[in-house]
Amino acid sequence: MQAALSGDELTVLLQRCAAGDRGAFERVYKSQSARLYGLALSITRQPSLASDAVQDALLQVWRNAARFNPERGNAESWLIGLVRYRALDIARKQVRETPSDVIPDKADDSPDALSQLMASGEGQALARCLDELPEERRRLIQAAFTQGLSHTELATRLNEPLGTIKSWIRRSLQALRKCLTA
Amino acid sequence: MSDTPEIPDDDSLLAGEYVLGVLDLPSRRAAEARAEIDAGFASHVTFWEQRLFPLTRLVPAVPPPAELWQRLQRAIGANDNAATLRVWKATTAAALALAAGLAAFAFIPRQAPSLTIASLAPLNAGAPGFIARVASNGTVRVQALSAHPAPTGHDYELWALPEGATRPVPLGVIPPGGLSVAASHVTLPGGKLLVSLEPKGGSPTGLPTGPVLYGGVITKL
Repeated sequence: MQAALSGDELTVLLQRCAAGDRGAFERVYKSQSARLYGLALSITRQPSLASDAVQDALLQVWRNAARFNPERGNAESWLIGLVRYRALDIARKQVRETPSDVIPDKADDSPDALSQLMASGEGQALARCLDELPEERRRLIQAAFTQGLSHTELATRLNEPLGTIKSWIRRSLQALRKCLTA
Repeated sequence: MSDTPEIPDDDSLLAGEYVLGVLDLPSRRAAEARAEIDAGFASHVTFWEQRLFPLTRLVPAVPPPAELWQRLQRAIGANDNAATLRVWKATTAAALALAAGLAAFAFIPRQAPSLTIASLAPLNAGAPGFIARVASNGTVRVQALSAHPAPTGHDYELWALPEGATRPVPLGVIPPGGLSVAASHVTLPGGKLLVSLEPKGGSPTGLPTGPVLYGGVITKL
């Protein structure tokens, strides 16, 4: 178990990766891999695909660490983005046959999750704004994000027309945007 | 509740859908491409990333399989000689010791053609797999003794290890029909010839990256 790194420490490690420091890369891996793998697994739902997503993303970190610009976002977000987008690409190319509810480590979409989010400083505003959405819309947004479900997959799961789902998502995003920029 | 009227198209909402992850693959690709060239759209993406990414806190962390780190190490070691040399030394230290021990039986039996300069046996002392002979044109030809193609996606690569050296010199991938090399590369009495299993096309690093499967001591011409 590695102690959590502060954002600043992670930033420094990424800068050292850009300079080719393998020790720094190993520390990034050890401190971040469980979170990143969990994220990829929740989206791809297959361990081998999750490994591929994390491997691709971390190789981008190693090769393109110099592209990370601390002024445009924090180090953690950069890593999360690399893994999420890679996992989403992989997931979209697969015909996903495993319904998410058989995945044991399914992300928490209960209201308790909101208090968890509240506890992380950066998530406070989001938790407050999510809480203002109607319950079913909040769950929709959380499931879409944490499981990487497409419009089409959401429509199938909720047995609603695609257009309805698209409209719900847009309205929810609009409401969130309004609340988050208020 | 009614879902009309239509919500007008809005770049910020499109960026939000992209970050949320609900777009299908073509739309994802289009959004990504646009963010590359359109700074306004890119800033919408950043807006949503900063606000939605805290949701990743809801996803449980799961320790990845141990082999993931091994894969990554191999991948990042691929362009670094010092690191590869460490790997080569670690994985082949025992092999080299064995290769040194090969001296006793890597010499070609006396009845073999005098032109044979080395037979390359498995490092666990099985039957020789490759043989190096001086061809009539003066080059040295290294050939498999029996047909045993490299596994799919791999090639056998030949290396010379001069006596006392720690870094082998790459001599090339051995095609099924054999490999000819200039005699000067291999006429190193006391040195060794090694064959390693490499990715298709040979080691990308100039040092063995796969297992050293065969080795033999070079005898005098």
